Amino acid sequence: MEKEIKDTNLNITPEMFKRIPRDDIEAEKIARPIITFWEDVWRRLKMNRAAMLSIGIIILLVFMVIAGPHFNKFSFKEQNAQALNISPNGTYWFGTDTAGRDIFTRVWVGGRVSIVIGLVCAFIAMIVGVAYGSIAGLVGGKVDNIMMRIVEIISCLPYLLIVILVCLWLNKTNLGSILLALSLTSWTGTSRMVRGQVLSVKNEEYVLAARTLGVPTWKVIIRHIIPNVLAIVIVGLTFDIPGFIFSEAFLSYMGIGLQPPDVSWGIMSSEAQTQMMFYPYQLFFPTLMIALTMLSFTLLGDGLRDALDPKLRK
Amino acid sequence: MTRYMLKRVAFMVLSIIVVSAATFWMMHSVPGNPLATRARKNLPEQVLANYNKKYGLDKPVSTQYALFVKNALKGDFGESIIYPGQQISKTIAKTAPVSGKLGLISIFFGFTIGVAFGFIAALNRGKWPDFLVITIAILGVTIPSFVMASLLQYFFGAKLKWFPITYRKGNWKSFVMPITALSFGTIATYARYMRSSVLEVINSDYVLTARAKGVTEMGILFKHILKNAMIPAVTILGPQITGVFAGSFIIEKIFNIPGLGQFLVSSIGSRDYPFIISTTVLFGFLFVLSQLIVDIVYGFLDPRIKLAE
Repeated sequence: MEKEIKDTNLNITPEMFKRIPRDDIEAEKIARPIITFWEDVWRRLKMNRAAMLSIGIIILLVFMVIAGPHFNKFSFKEQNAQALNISPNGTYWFGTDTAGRDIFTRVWVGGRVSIVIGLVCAFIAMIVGVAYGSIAGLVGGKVDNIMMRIVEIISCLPYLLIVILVCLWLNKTNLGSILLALSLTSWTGTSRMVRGQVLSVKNEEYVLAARTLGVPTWKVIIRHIIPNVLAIVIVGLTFDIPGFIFSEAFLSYMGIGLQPPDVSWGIMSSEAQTQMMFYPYQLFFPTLMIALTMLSFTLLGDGLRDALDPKLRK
Repeated sequence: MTRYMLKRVAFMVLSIIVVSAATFWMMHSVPGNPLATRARKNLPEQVLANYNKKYGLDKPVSTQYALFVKNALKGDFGESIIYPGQQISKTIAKTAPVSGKLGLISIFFGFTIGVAFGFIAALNRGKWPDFLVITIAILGVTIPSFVMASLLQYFFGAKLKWFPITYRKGNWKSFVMPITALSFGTIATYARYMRSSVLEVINSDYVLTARAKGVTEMGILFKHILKNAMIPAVTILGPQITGVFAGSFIIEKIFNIPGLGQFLVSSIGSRDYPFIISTTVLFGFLFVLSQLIVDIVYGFLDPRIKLAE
């Protein structure tokens, strides 16, 4: 029997309480919606202001390299003897160079080359590096040893030499030859990184548990190895893109990359460097774009690394 | 340890042989003849044949390579094809120390300042030194070395006139800006690596145990935190060394420094076989040597790593 509760201060009576039947199935339900790993990554990436700002800058840069050259009437090749070395103004928004060409148009046309090189080379490096590193890590033993020695030997070759030789082989220096030359050796870093990750992941307890439970090897690779390697590869990819943009700029600056009348941020920087003491704005705009692109991808890489780190999952 | 070292040295030798052979093959597989330069385009057939004989270009590639290795072991890298009479070993002996000095000082400053910055930033997490280091790190990663060089030239050379704009032999001031431009990226890289590494180590169990045992704060900082946090920083020392030497090419060009980089770029363009192969072997040797040094330092820093394995 229930005793009547008497409390002079609160006046609590049994009528105030309602008995609720307990449903075991309902009690086990999780109130929070189930989210996938990638949804969780996106949720945490959204909380990173710097990473979100960098995504915004990248989108803006991509939009500008596509649409920017159409914002005014000038061509990136068009020379004007009456408009040499004009400082930024209402007509020439970023000024003109020593040949009277509009820097605003040239910056965005040049950006196409730089961004294409960054994205394509990084993508090739990722595909080749992941394939090579995964094979080395999974097979192990002598195969792994030989494969990694090959990587070390390739790393010994100065990429300057490879770029110039590829250009000599193809008998021309254009976007294709630069892409080929930079991609030939760029995958070595990714392959090392992937191999290391595969070696550590394949000996983890959860992989061992899956194998013990009789899960097929292909399923182990897809469910356990690839997701764990993918995170570090995506981060590596975002760090590789600015690296390739810098490599292109470096080669053009040295006079062994793309050749005028082609234009890239590297070519523009190289041409402007000789005039820097007198017309610093000519160097400012292309280098600002290189810096902005490198900064954006670096911050995005940092943000992705934090978002993809399983240890940080809440 | 000795067995491991011998194994690594043997691999070093093998790597250099493979690199030189690969370079040799790549150079010779490019169509055309290096003697057909602008100055020698209209040479009579007989004179051209004599030149080919002099430089051994009439022999099979394998024979040429064997001859190169034989002479190289004696320290003779042959004569430049493009600049007749110019001994390559003498050119390397003259230019390599300049590039080496520039590169090594840059690596030294890059490593020490970067490690110190990262360490200070981690110990002051969330405070102004941390934000300052993060800003420097972001700028260092963002601004390419050639842009940095141009900015330094413009502000500290042309405007403030603190340092000479171009290289002057015997003037230490002319090395300040090239070293700053070259080491800035390295400082940034190490500061980032070191900061995240120290933050990871600070919260580890052995640091907590050391504190519980009453180890002094200085002892914890230097013996436990710094030593263990240095491991990731050391792993990237190899790529950083080669990166700095590659970056020195552009810095040498901007500051007009008579280093090896300038010669290598022009020699590749004019296909000066002996010079290219000699410098490639030198860079290959540097790369493999830096990897070996990294492995050894790694073994000393982390007792869990057995080099013999």
